[in-house]
Amino acid sequence: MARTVIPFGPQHPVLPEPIQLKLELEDETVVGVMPIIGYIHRGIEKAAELNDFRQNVFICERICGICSFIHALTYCEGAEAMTSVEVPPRARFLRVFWSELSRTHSHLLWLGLLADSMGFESLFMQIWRAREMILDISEMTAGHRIIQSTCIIGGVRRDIDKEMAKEVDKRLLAFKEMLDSTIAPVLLRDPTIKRRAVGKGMLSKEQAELLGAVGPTSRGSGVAIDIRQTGYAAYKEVGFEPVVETAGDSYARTLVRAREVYQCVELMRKALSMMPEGEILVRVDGYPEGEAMSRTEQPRGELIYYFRGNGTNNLERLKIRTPTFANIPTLLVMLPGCEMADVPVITLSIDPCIACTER
Amino acid sequence: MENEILVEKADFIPAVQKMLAEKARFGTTSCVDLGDKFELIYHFEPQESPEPLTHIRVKIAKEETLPSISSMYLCAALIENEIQENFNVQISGIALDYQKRFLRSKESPESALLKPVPYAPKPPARLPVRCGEACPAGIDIPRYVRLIGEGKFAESLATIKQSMPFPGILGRVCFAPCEDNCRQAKQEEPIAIRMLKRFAYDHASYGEKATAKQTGKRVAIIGSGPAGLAAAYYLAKMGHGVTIFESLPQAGGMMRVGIPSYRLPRKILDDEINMVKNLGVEIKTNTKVESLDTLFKDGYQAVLVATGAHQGMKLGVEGEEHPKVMECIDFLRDVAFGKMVKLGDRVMVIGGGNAAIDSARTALRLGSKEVTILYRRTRAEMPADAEEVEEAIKEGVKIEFLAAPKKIFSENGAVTLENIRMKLGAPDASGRPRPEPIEGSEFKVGVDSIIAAIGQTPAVPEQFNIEIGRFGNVIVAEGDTFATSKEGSFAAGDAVTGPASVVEAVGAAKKAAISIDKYLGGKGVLPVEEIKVKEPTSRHTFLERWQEKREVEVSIVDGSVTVSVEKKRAEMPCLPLEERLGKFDEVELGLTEEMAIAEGQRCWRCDLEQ
Amino acid sequence: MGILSTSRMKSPWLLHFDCGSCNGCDIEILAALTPLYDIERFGIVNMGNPKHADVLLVTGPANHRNYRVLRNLYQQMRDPKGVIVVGTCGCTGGVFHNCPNVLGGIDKVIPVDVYVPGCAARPEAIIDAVVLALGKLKAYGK
Repeated sequence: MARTVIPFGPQHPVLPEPIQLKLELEDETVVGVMPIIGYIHRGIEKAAELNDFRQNVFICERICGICSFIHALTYCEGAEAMTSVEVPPRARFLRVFWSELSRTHSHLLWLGLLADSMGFESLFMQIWRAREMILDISEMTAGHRIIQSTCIIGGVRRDIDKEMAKEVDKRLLAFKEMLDSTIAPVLLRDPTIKRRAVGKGMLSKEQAELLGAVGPTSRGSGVAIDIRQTGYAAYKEVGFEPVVETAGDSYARTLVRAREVYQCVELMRKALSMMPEGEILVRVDGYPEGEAMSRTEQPRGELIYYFRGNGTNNLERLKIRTPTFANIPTLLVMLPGCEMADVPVITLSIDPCIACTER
Repeated sequence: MENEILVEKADFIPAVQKMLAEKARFGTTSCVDLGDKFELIYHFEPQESPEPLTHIRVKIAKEETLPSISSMYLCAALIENEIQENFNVQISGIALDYQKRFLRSKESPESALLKPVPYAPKPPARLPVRCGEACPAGIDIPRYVRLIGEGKFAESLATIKQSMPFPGILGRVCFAPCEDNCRQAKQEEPIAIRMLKRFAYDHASYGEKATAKQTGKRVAIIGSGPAGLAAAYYLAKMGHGVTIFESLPQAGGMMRVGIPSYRLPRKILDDEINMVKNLGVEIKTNTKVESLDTLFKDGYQAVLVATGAHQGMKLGVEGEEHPKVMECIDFLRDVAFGKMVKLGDRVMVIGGGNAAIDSARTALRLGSKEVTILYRRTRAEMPADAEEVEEAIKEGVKIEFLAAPKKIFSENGAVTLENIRMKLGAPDASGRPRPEPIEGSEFKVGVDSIIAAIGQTPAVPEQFNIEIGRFGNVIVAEGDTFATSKEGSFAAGDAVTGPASVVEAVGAAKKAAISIDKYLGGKGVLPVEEIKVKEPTSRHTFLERWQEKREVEVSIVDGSVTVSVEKKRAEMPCLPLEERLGKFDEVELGLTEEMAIAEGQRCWRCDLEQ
Repeated sequence: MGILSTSRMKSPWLLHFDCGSCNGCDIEILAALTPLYDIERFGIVNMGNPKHADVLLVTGPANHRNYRVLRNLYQQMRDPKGVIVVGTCGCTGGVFHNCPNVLGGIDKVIPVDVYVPGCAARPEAIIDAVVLALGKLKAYGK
């Protein structure tokens, strides 16, 4: 059996973003993997040291366009801790709402791409059609389809009034109905999806812990870890249970995300109904001093920011650990042993976000 | 920040080891350039639940080297590599090096941890299947059929033995409700499940594993029929001392006295009974139990009443007491025990069940020339096995449908039977159309003897002192526990259900054995032997076989598609008709190896469908 | 107009390359292909192969690592070809203008025909840009 090295990417139809995998093949079986990254490194951590700390919200938001709101939220949580700002309760609930909106649209996007990588074009189109309903809610509440730009240090920039909340609730119910009728049955029952995903890309619980996997990748292997349990923003008040599957294959990770979409809808509706009246923004005085850590649950897993300030309007250091960065090593375990044709599905199953990883 | 641990370079690794011992997860590492030195902060997450992070801070001079922690936390390797690249911090001994090429594994003990999970996907969860659900004994039918298809006969037999002790008997006499429920029956012919069971018994052997530790408890079983023997088998395997009391000279119950030996050779029956005896079960033949209380006095802690249904039902017509009229159950018993029975040339059998067919075929073998079965409904309503009816007709048995006896009397030295024609009316309680007599359609038939085979009922002695149901003379036993009205006594088999089948009796006995074990203080867990065979992961093999065995013809003219099935259900080789009469040799000869494997491979494997 | 240029006008094929964007514009390009906007009804098809493509869609600013890949892709495409930059950061560097690894707008690396500002650009604007780029392809045949 001859060994061949095949480059996969950086420009490849199933990958919307550039990452290169050098696959070592024995006939059709993958025996070794070398991920090569760095194609879209921009140096955001360094840029954050050059900008005013209030401007950084907007550049952090553009680390990743898919989960932009959660990046902004994580930055704001840390900056607020350093400047000792208490965020008004209404703003905390609105932050939960937009976080979950981001998560819903991210998971749907991923489910669509997964269907596409399996060659299941009609499911891809169905899921993206449902996703447009979520983007409409985003446009209605924040003014933009993708990058909400509503979170700033001290609170949020936009409010959702009662009338709009009612309309959002109506649309969420319609969205849920669409999930129930067209998407969930296919994901749960369709043999095409099962044949392509069940048993593919196995990651055991021990390996997930050893390799430091986070988010749905680790939850698909039975590790019940979800940073929302720490209760940042208003998650403590809203309350939720992490979604866990134990099989550890690509299908388990698919199910985790599919079930989380339902969870997100519930959390959004809860956040809107439990939201107290009051201010949404407080004034921020002073400059960041000392150190802070902030951690949130991004659609792909745990996001960690480390801040160090020195009392000026520039941060001394901003360190960002993104979830995909922690999940890439799992590919070293998942890919060897699979067949070449399964590489796109397995690679996608960790939901790689290269824009996050490389910053 | 809270939870800080300041360490020197020398204490760095022990501090990380301490975090590891506390089961902390590695979060990330931050590096800060302080001008003359670097400060590295390692963030850990204590315990499994998310709590505030713990931070280990270490300061090193710019030219100094820090040891890598990737030997403890493999996931740290990536971040250490990144810091090394971005800040030019010297970190030594990183398990995975991506300085030039990202993530190249070095030879280190940890690289062994990166071996992928053995690429063996879990077998999909098996679905309940219709054949398996229909089986009263709960045999894992799809698995044993598949194993025969794979040529693994011993494993197949062991699979059957997991849920049923008598494959030899049931492989021959089971009425196979599984085959009626086979999904394949809808398109083709059902899999010959019963024949495969018999094949497994004939072509493989099974060694009974040692029984459980003796419990010291004693159980008495009254009746050595299928229910009694099966219960004895399971109770003995669970470690109880079992004694079977049988009133007849030989054990086997209805299997010996009801089923003729051309269907169930006595050698098979004796082998199976000996198998039960070898487990330490004592069988006392010619012993009639008069009262349950004496058994309890003799030191038995529990009693199972499995007396079966051995009393023939009365015809209820005039002249029934005629000496030439006999009960089929007495007739078959006499034949089984080798008594001479004189029938004469013309025999009339009344009834449409399996017992009637058995009596008719036995009569032919005893030398009768003209055997007729009288049945008051039509063939569609006959409770007897279709296969059996077919064989009987082949052998020359005539069946008179839609007729019932009215009067029996002697005329000109022979017995004469006056019958009346029937027509089918509205359905009765059993769902079958009720036969109604047609007035004035009486006709007379002269015969030499009459066998009444219209059904049997249990005959439970009154001295047993247990509650008897109002209908059908059956023992009242609780649904799940099989306990009767008397403390410590249980009942199963035909004595509870009325006349039924061997497999139903075995299935009930199995449950009764569990219940008795629980009553005696056990856990009620049947001993099941694990079978080590490779499980299929999907129906792929089925799809391939589907392609092989079918030839699809497409007609160009009208576009019609004809599917021709190459492999049909295996035909059981049978004894030629001329060799059957006059003796009791087994009629069915058993499948050949090729036939059995082909039949096993024909299964659709519905259990693996997703 | 010959058959070649007619068919090119009626069905331009796209090549999409992410040069370092935040994904916002990339998913809007994908969204333009899916049921709500459905540019495939105009015959516009997203392709993975540069030699098949007529129009190159670039998102994000050029950086030191990937500008060679971008130039290589551009050179592989056959004439006539159009280049569309999607998103503010690709037009000028935008929010990433002072990032250490960023070169600036795409036009520092390859010639650009159509600029689509917006962060992220809306699908309608992307469809409009493709139509504008077709103008260049149309002129080529004459």
